Amino acid sequence: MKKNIYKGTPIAPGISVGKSLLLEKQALPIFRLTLSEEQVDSEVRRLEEALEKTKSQLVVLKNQLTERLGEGHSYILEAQTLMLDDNLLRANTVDTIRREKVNAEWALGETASKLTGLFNSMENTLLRERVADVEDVIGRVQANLAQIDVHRATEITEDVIILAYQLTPSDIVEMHNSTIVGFLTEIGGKTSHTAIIARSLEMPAVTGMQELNEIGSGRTLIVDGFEGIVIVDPTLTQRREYENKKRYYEEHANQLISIKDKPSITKDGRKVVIQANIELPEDLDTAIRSGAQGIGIYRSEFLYLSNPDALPTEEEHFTVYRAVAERVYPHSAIIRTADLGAEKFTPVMGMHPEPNPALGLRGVRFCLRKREMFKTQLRALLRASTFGRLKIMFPMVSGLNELREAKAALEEAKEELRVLKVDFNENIAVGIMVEVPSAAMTADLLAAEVDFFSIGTNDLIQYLLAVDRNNDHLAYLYDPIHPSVIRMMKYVVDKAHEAGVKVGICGEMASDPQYLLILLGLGLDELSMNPVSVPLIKQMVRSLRYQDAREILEHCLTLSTAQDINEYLLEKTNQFFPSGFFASRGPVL
Amino acid sequence: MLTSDIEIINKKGLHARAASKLVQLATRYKSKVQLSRDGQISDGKSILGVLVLAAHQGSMLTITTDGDDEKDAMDAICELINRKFDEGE
Repeated sequence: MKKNIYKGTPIAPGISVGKSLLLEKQALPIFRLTLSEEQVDSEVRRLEEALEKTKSQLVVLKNQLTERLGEGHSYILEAQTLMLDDNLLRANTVDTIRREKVNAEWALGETASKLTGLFNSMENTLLRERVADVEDVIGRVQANLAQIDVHRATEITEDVIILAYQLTPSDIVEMHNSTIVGFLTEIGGKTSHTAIIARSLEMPAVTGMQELNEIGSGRTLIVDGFEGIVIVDPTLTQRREYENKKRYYEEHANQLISIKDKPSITKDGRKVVIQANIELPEDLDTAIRSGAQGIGIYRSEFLYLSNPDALPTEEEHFTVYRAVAERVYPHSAIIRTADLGAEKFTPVMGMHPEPNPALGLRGVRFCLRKREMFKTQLRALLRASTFGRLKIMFPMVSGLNELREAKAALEEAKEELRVLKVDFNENIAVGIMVEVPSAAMTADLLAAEVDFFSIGTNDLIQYLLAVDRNNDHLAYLYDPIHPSVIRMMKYVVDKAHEAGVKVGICGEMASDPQYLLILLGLGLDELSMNPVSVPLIKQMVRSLRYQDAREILEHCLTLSTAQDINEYLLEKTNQFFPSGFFASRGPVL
Repeated sequence: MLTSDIEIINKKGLHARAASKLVQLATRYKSKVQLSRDGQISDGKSILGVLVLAAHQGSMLTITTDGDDEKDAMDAICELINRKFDEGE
């Protein structure tokens, strides 16, 4: 039998069955063909047919989008439809076909480079970004010339699994609420934004898949996001096996949910607060259902990314934060101020792509540069602080000066509200993400000027180890328990505790059962994770002793390599949690 | 031929939505419609051309209409711009 099982890296748990849909994002290869005199007319007709076909596809798409989201979101398609009739596109291409006696694809390619050149020469960044819309519409025409079916996520009506080279966060937001049940991508590591969002939407996702083109569109797939397994056109036996597996996971999940109202406390009485990380306001329900004791990080970027044409207004921010504060009460919610930058700019921010975005203008650096945008968010946060227990957290702080600068902006926002006689919580807690090594190494200095720390392991590890967390070739080096990481975390926790400051962790590491013994042993006060992982981690905390975890950590600190630590941890974890405790070998439930 | 100078007053300028409206309106008239800004001249019936003008709030445009219905075309276009493209900001 032909091989029908593929293996990738699981990045979001769950099991789904659906039809594959390959998103054709890469450009088609275009060849130059020279035509004879008599072929020219029919070539022009071929171009015109492709333009008309594209136009009718766009109209259909526009109607669907308008129906789903209202007029406000469909205008881009309107503009793209107009482009198809635009003489700069149409007449120029026809002219090239006739003048140079070349095929339509080539002529259109020439037009495309002229147009993108023209757009790229514009000084206005916002409009320069529109080049993507031009490229997109020309790509559709090219696909129609090549008679390739251009599927788009918004055209889908049955349960589908998206296959894409890479997905951007906004791609996934656009797909939210549609009939998508899973994702396969070629690139995007376990801690990429794609993975985080896929988990928050409770959709299985597997990355590191090299065979996407081989699988193609229209095949029935089973995606196992626990083990990273993809089965193409499954046999009846395979289907049954996975239906059973899925049921088993669901039952196990229900069993874990039953402990949701029990306290999160070790056998020897140490309380560890278990909180949820959320991305979208919709995630609040899942977080509350999971039994999380509050929100350890609300990533506020989606307010900015959901509308590329305008920055969110103070009211838009306020509405969301107020809802979070009210829903989570009596627990607290930590709102992280915008960590924009890197791949998360939208046209309206007027920023240019950077050669090294991870080390570039992002997080609080970007906010301090866009001070008015920053203060809009801060004022909204302050106003919402009277509706529950909100805390403010600044991302990417690299040292004391930046912290002071961010606090100064907060003070200005407070003063602006005081002038307007608007109520807010004067003593709102202010903390920072500890995710830049320079901040970690000056934890003692920073602790003196904040109310709390939250260790952002995703970035801290990538910066400390100098490993791009999205680079699959380097995945083997991205080791959350490299001795340097444990030492650094220990330093941060110890310095914070000396200053009487609480420390949490909000990276993906917190949801991995394998690392719980270490995190507990470090003395972290709060663990914040994806809502789906909350019940399992709580159950584990409840069956461990803090004293044991401390001893295990002490021993880990004497080991020299990540591999030694891993083996030791695995042995200890198995000892405390005999087989059967975990529903799978997958990292989280 | 009519010529008139006008300021773009809506907040977002001639972005995709506003440009679409302008082009759709201009296309309804037989007259030639030209827009120019800072020496760059574009066909008012070309969405790509209008976008390339990159006109933002406060930009000055020179509009030229030429043909049988040049007066109607000019009036309609100026009105659309002054109505801020009905964007209800």
